Amino acid sequence: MSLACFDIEQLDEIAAESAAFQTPADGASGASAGVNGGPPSHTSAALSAAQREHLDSCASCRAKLLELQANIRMQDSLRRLLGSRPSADSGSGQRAAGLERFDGIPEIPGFEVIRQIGRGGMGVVYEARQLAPARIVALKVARDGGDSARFGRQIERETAALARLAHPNIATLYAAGTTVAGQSWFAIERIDGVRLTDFGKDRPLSIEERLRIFLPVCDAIAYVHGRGVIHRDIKPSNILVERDGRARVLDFGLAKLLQSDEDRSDITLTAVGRIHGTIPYMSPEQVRGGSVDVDVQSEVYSLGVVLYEWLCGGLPYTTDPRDLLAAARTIAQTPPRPPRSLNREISPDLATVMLKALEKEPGRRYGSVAAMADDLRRVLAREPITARPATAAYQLRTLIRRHPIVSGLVALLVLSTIGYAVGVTQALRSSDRNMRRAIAAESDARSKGDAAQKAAARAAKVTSLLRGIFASADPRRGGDPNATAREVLERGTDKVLQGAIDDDLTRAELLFALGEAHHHLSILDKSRSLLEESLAIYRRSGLEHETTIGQICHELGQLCHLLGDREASLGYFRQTAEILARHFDADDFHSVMLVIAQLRAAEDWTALLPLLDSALANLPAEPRFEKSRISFMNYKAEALSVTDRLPEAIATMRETIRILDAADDPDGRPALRASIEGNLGWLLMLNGQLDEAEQLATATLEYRRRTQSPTHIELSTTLLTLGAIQSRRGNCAAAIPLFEEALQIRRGHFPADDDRIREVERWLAECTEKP
Amino acid sequence: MSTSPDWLTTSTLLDGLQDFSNAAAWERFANRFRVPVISFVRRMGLGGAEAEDVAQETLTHFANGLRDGKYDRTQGRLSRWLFGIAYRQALQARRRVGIQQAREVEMGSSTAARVEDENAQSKIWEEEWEAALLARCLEQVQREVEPTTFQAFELVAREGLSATDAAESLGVPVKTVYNAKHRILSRLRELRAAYDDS
Repeated sequence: MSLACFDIEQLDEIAAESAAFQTPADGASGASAGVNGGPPSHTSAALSAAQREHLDSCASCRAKLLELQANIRMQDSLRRLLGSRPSADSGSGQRAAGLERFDGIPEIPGFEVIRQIGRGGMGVVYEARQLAPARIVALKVARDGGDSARFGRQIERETAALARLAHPNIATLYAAGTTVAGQSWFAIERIDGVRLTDFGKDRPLSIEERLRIFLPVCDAIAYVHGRGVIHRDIKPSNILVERDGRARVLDFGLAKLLQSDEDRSDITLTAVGRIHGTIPYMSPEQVRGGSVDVDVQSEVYSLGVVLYEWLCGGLPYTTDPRDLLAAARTIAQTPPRPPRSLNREISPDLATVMLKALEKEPGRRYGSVAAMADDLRRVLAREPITARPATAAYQLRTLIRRHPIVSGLVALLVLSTIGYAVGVTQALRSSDRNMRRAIAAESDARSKGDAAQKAAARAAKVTSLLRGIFASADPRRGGDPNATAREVLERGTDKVLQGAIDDDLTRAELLFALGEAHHHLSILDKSRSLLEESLAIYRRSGLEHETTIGQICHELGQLCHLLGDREASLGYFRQTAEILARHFDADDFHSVMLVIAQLRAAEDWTALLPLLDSALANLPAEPRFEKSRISFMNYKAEALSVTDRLPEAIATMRETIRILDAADDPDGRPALRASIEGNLGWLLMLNGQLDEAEQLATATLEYRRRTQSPTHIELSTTLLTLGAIQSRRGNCAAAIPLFEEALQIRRGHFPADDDRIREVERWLAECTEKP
Repeated sequence: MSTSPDWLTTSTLLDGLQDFSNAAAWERFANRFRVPVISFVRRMGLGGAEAEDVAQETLTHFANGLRDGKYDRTQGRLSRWLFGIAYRQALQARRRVGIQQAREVEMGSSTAARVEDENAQSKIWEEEWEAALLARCLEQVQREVEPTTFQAFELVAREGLSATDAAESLGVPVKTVYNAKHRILSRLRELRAAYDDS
């Protein structure tokens, strides 16, 4: 029987298996093994008789196998001698060799590394033995080399996310810290399970059984959201199912912490278009616009894809995994295959739930993962679900929306999803937005008079002009298939602006859209000039454009910040803050947070306070905004205290604690409470109320010592507070060791001349200089 | 593809060291040999600044010996000579910081124990030397191939990811991952063999 030659995948497998039976004959390097080094071993039991026969008779396959076996030995040497860390990505020969190899196995007191079990973009995961309490854990350690500072920050962020979470379907965080070599790490529960979509491959599971396994995943994600964390990488490989069918959500490496400092900086960092996540599970808004838009509803979508795959055995779209660009385009445009076409056991109601989770428009999906879970429970209980199939009218609108810009979209999405061209997508979205407005406005215009008609005409005109630029990139219309988004945009912008635009506001709107596009493509100077020109026109055109002016100022604030023009940036942010204070929009929460962050960084308390007051007055009374309310009050107390309004600041903090007490939260949010009480302790210390201050700071310190790493920056803050209290009491002997410990922690985080270090040094000096 | 990467020209490098004023040659030499020396010294129980100092002393001794004509390439491999120097320097340093005393009490300071210790250290040295060579080979290969190819190799050959997972993470076909892995491993073997011949 003649058998086709083995391909490289098969040969690799045979080589790897046979290598396990062999002792390397050629030393560490494997250098002397080659095609002439003797007959290859192929003892694999997995080989069929025909395959063995082929291997014995085919000289070409034999030669390849010998080569691959020698390669496998080289691979073993590399692993043994250099460890598993990336070698040369640091660009440093010294780090690549012995020094790193020496540190390859992380040294963490209290843990013994057993073996490496995985590797993510930022960290290496080991199976390890914790000595006390004795248990096996998964140890994730920040990668060294490359951008190790960023990896470290990400590990810390993952730790911070996990620290907020305690749920039976999420791996539990046990400990965290820094290795002897300075890499951040954390230890979590080691889960012995298989990825969701591999579970049940060996035995059939009914739809009901599958839903019962999946529902706790929804509950876990809903819980995660409730704790202010967005997972951002929901996919089957991040959901492990244990032997007993218990599903566990893992890997918060891309998680976003809402309302944290990290989150705010993330807005700036990711705005230029880093794409997080795994393409098939990313929502349309994610593949279109990077991670900025990843929110609860994006997660509903990702869970929808996972559910679809879990129930239907395949993804909702036919995509070629090798063509990510086409896949992204499909996600953004193509309706999912009807679930029942793949699995008839899926009930019509269940299919409706699945499709609602997969709606292209976030607003048409479930408002929360909990709502989706509720409907799935109704399906299980055979109760009526809340989701309704999309109406014909809606489908028609979708079609209308999709088609007029398809030619441009094709070219643009291809460009945008490869990471450097998010701006065009942004522009396109704005074009899409304009078009929707135009469609809606046209129908309303007849009844609403002149202004509405003009707005509709303007939107239509801008849309048409933008589409003109982008459509020129479509190869089917003679566009250059290799043109980058940047080229398309640069070429098109001047051309369109030189054309006849008879209306000022049309021009302003066009300039705004183009300015945004340039910003997102990092053509910053040009973006600034376009946006400033747009802003000038809007300003001349009267007060009714104030919210647009706010948006442009916000954009310009970010832009000038990137350009290094801090003064101009702050100026624009102040203007944004003024407008936001008058027109607070909870839906545009990111902008508010970013402006607050900027004003805090600039210590512009005068501009910050009215914005915070407006935000506090206007935040909807919904649980999802509760954490924000607490953050805002915290910031307000900070602003009040530094502007010498200490009693008001203390009152604000007390009110914050009252809100926290009133919240319906079984575990009382210990971490948040610790921060707030610690801050109140500080304010009371400043106000001379030392007894209460000490009581609060001592409790906070106790909490931090128990739950946080000894180098945690928050611990230094509490130490400083307690030290300051002792210092104010004149008890320098007690204060000095506290200051010294705080100083040591901060020195590990900040450069020597950082204000946060100077602050502690000042307190310490005050104490040591006392007689 | 050339099998004589620039960093393998040990002769040129050592010749450069003969000239006391040739700072660039010293820099290149130190860059190449400091890593295995430091790693070795650390595995002999010396840490931090101590290890750095021993490495510096070892390299200085080596360069001085070379200039004094003490190294005869026909009489043995360079790595063995360097080992001898590093081992002696590390022993002296250990005595300075008290490690040796502790070990001697533990092992009994017999000649046999010292020989045994030297043999064990020699093995460690061989490993460090090999590790340094492989690391340099890797650097060379990384310069030669596309970043994605190297990344695919790292994921499967070094980090132990399955080819499927690596392909998924990089967005490339699985076959591309296999090809990348074996292309680089073959090239590494080639470079490593060339070093033996040089």
